[in-house]
Amino acid sequence: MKDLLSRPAHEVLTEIEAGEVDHVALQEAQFEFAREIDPEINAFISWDERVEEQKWDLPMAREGRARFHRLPYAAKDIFTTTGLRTTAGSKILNNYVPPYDATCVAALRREKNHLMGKTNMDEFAMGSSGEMSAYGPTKNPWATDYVPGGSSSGSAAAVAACQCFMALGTDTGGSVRQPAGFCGVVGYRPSYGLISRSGLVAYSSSCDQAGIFARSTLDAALAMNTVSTPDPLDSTCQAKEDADYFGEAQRPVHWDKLRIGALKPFLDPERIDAQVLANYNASLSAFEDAGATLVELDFDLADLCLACYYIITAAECSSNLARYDGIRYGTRLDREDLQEQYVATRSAGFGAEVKRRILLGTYVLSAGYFDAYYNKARTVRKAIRAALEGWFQRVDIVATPTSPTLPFKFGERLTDPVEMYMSDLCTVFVNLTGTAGISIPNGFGEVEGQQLPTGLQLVCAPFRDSLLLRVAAQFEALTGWKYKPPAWVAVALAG
Amino acid sequence: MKREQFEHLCLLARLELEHGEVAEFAAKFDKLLGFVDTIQAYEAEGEGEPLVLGSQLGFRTDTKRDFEWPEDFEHDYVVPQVIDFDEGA
Repeated sequence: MKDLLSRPAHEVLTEIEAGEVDHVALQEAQFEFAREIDPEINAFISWDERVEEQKWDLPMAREGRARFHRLPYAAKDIFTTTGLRTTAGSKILNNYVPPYDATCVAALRREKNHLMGKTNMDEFAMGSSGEMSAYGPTKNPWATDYVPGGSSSGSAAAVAACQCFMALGTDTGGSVRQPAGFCGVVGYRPSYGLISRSGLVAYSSSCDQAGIFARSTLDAALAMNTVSTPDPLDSTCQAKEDADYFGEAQRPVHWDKLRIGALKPFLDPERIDAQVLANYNASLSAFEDAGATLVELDFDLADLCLACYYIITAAECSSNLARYDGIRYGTRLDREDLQEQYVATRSAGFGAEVKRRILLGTYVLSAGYFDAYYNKARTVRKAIRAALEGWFQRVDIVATPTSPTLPFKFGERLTDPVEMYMSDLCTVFVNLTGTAGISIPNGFGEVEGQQLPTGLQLVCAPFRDSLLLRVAAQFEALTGWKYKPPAWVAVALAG
Repeated sequence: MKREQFEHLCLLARLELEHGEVAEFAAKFDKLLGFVDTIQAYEAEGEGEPLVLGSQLGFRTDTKRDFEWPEDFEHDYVVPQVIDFDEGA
């Protein structure tokens, strides 16, 4: 049974449906393997010990289109799960057990999927390296002294190490795509609204979006068929009941009619690491060889994107995280005075990076600085959106490197938050404009004898997700790419 | 940023830093402010708008309306009283 664990979900599902594989036995093998290797990478914060209870005999809501069902998956510890602790990677929520499922978790549950557990993450999704968790850092399965990226570090590592077939993450500034790139798997952030945010612990409500990690684009599309459902609990949800992303992803691409945009700032060796750039250029050449037209696009606002992003998200974070006062959720430090109790609880419960962003948000929203920072950032955001609309009048898909660098070593960027923020250079414009992006593996670079993955980011116009998944899936087919786990994982699977 | 300003900011955010960590925190925060300050390079035109449901977000004008209580309305509250004060509850 272990030999199935590294295979694409859609292939294994075909065997389950044909009665050739018992999904309960698969679940047990997956659970045992995931727990066996987790001490090497620390991808999980909590396991769902109720695994026996998950063998429900509920009717499945099957429709004509393919769905992700009866397969083991994991969820970032930011999705609420009934009766299962949800920490958001923070001490302040270390004892919080939600009374309800996030909408996308409920959708997976309805389809008899097996939740393995909750994955590790940077606290409240604030981080780009997986080092900011109160539950210890996640390690990159490709080289365990290197970071896996963040903030959905555990979900990326778990999929890369074959601990599950698919994992849910959230992407506020690149937190699905960047760790996917660092861990050599697929990371898909849908257009804002295509997956309900009900049940996500909020960080920055205008940028937060649930996303999917998988070992192929087709698997991500299959999962999307299940988790993208209309939801009256989220007024920004724009999912369609009958959208078939899996079917769309399998349709052929007419390469000769496809126009691929390359953003000029991300072709610059001053900004992008040489090995990352080499793999990116090789990917662009593959598109061109297939018949696609390459178009270079200006992006004058590239250097302002990060500042704009950190102002807006910090402002929203300072507001969203005001609810953690020790009264309604999680940890409380008792004090005689109520104000002192708030301060003591928050000061002990939040980590340094979260405090930094709350302080920044408080600063940019304060009366004297609101116009200079927050309002200015809103106008820049609008200009970035206008730039994006201009690109998509000229091209169908924009391609960039997912991250400007290869994965880096633990501790390398902890002393300088601004250097850490630069990891998001290529991804934040997607969140600021509400559109969709996907990171697919496009090769390896070498650092100190270690092979480390790189990612290619593809971006579409808002709500052209079907086209995005189709181009990504067909690009994988074009280049003959198939996921192969890290050597030590392959050995463990064979053992 | 002056130390007093930084401490005031912490107060607004309901956070308190250990005595020993204030200096390091303030230094990193200054660097962060320098970073976000790069946004001032942008020459703003117009105002930002919500990206999500932008045109659909229509709120009615907040207007004051005269209201006359119905003659048969005996109390000045709508929600039924649940505590009987006369009985000392």
